[in-house]
Amino acid sequence: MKRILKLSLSLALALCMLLPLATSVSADGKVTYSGNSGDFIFTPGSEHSPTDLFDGFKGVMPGDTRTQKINVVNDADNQVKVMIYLRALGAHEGSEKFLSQMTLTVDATDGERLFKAPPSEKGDLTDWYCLGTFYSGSDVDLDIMLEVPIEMDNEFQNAIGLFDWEFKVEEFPVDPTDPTPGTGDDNNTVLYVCLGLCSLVLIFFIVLFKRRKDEDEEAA
Amino acid sequence: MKFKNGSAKRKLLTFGLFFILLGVLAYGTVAFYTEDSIATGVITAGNLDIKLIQQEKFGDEFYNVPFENITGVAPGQTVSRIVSVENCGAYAAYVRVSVNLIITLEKGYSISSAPENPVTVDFNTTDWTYNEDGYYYYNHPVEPGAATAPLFSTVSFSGALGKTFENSKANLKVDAYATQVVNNGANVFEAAGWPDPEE
Repeated sequence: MKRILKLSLSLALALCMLLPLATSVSADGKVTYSGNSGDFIFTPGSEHSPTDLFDGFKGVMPGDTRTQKINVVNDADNQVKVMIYLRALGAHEGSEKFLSQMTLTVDATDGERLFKAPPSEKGDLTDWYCLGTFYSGSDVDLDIMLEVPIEMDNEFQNAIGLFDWEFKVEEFPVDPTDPTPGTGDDNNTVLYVCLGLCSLVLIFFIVLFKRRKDEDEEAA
Repeated sequence: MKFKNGSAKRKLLTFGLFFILLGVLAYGTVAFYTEDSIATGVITAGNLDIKLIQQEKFGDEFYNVPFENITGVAPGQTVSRIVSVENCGAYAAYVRVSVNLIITLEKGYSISSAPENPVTVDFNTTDWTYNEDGYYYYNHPVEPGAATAPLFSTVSFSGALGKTFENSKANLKVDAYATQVVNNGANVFEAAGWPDPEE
């Protein structure tokens, strides 16, 4: 019984110590405003476009519903806050027919729908849409969904569709009255501290348990 | 314009300072840097790619070679012709095959005088199912890189073939079609989107 208890405690301890190492899965697409260099950095890119944000929308088949995220982050220094805007510019020439077959939906983190239309169109992103004010390190996620109709014709096998989104940034000086900028670190620090404390408590009890056991054995 | 006394100067100075202050405050709300960049998104469509494999046994050996037309077939002879379908694409596929026997007789003879079942094909009815629409459906999805079990392996000519079939030609025409597995029904019989044979 004691052995089982000991094993269970060891496993629980190992689990507690391993948990803080776990990190969240990164977004599929990323738009980084790097500040001093002035430009946005778009990743991951693809063989068709170095600024491609839609790694998850390759090789789509009729009836597919694909989802992915795009993470927009301000990676500039602490001296500025920025406002980042997005607008759709539509399809490249020759891509309209293919892209008009499907529906692209873009939702903000708070659930607000920014866009629902074929990616060949500008939809509700014809005009600049402000994604928010970003302090250094802060970010937002856009939830992207692509729906391909089951009726999409055979003629679109191996089709490639290109469309443009434009991002704009406005830098502002940080005011003393601004809220404390986020660091961009979204790890659950409190959780990890608690887990660490739990680990220490477990170690304490194991040592205490062993010491008492040794004392009992000596007394016997 | 001429200032008449010190009061006007003070007013002007006050207004000047006010507008300077306003300008400084406004500076705090006007962006001092703007930049824009274009990201080109790309969506690509997948595709299906299948290949009809036709082989024959090489003599009595255990390996297969590509099938070639056979001439000089005698009544009662069985020839090797192994037909299967390979999925060369990146997506699982449902497969169906049409098989049509066309016999061309020498001039002057009619097909109506031919014996029943002049040519027999040993269809694999375990893995393939013949449907009323005239196609043989492969009962299982074919994964990328995999091939179906043979639809048939031999073609036999009736021993009752008489003079009618001298110098005749038997053409066993095989066509394979595929449709996607994803988002397309629970099995091959429920699948839609088969290519049009006329295209």
